[in-house]
Amino acid sequence: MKILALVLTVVFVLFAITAATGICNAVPALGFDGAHHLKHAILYAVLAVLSILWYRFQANAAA
Amino acid sequence: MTFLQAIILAVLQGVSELFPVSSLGHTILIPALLGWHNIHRADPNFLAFVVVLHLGTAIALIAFYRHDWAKLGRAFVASVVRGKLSDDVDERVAWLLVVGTVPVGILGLLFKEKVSILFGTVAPAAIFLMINGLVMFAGDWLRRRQHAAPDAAYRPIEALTYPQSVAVGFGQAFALLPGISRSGASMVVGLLCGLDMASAARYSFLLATPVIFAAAALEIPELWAPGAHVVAAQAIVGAVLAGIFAYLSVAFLTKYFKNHDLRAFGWYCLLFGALCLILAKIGVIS
Repeated sequence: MKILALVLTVVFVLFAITAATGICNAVPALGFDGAHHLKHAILYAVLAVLSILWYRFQANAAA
Repeated sequence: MTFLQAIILAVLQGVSELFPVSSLGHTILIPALLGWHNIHRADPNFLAFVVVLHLGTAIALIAFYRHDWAKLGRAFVASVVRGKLSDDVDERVAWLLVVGTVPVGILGLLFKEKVSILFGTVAPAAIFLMINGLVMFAGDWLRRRQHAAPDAAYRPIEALTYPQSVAVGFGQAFALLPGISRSGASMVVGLLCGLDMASAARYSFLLATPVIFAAAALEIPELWAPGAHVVAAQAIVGAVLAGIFAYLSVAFLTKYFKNHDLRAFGWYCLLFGALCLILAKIGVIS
């Protein structure tokens, strides 16, 4: 679960950057169509924060 | 939009957002029934006005559950600072709400506009409202069947598992379809997860608050979109009325669901949806 949480964090951070900067043209449904999508970026950033919190809970529970 | 239309829409939003009858469906069907051809859902003015109404509704919900939100907020922050979950009930409920909000957040942002374009007319909204009525009946029937045994006990909210909270969140996401009620769908899933009617309603309203607030907050730029000229007086009166009626609605419903179930709303959705569908098919409304 720790690994999954870490992977999700990285994925959502990349998604947030991609949506905010519009550097990717793939998968328009996810907000990646070359345009700046602030709402998508905010959503992915929130999901990244939740994922890192999940990772922290998992790490502390295992310790 | 006239001032009278703004007042009617505000009251409609405040009431139908929390009653399990679909606010989105009603903001399509009622203007059609009243022959308000001057209101177009894609109009920047209308979108901006809806944002204000949602903000009013969200503030009313936060005000009604202010003690709960204060406790849940403190518990949430404590768990984040500690970096560890404890056995505290408020902490668990706070995280259940966070987990339950994720599905509707993702699905809403990705599909809201597409669903609105595909189904944002009278006939689909009427059909989905009838389906919403059937869901109310089905949920209530399954709940009574689950608890037919004399030893079958209801669970408190904090006894929900995280996957169950995600399931309630997915139930809420069905409200992207105009005619399907956010609170109704999440209450039905809550009932199927073992909550009693009052707890399912409370959990549904708590779960709806961040979603309504975030959806409205993310749309605030619409207020300054090109072509959006919401009259300040209409916006202020609309937000206040939506908030007052949302507050009264949640106060009424929390008492109502202590002794009643969803069947009355099921009948309403079925009959009103059927009426609107017939009127749309014979060309009286469009």
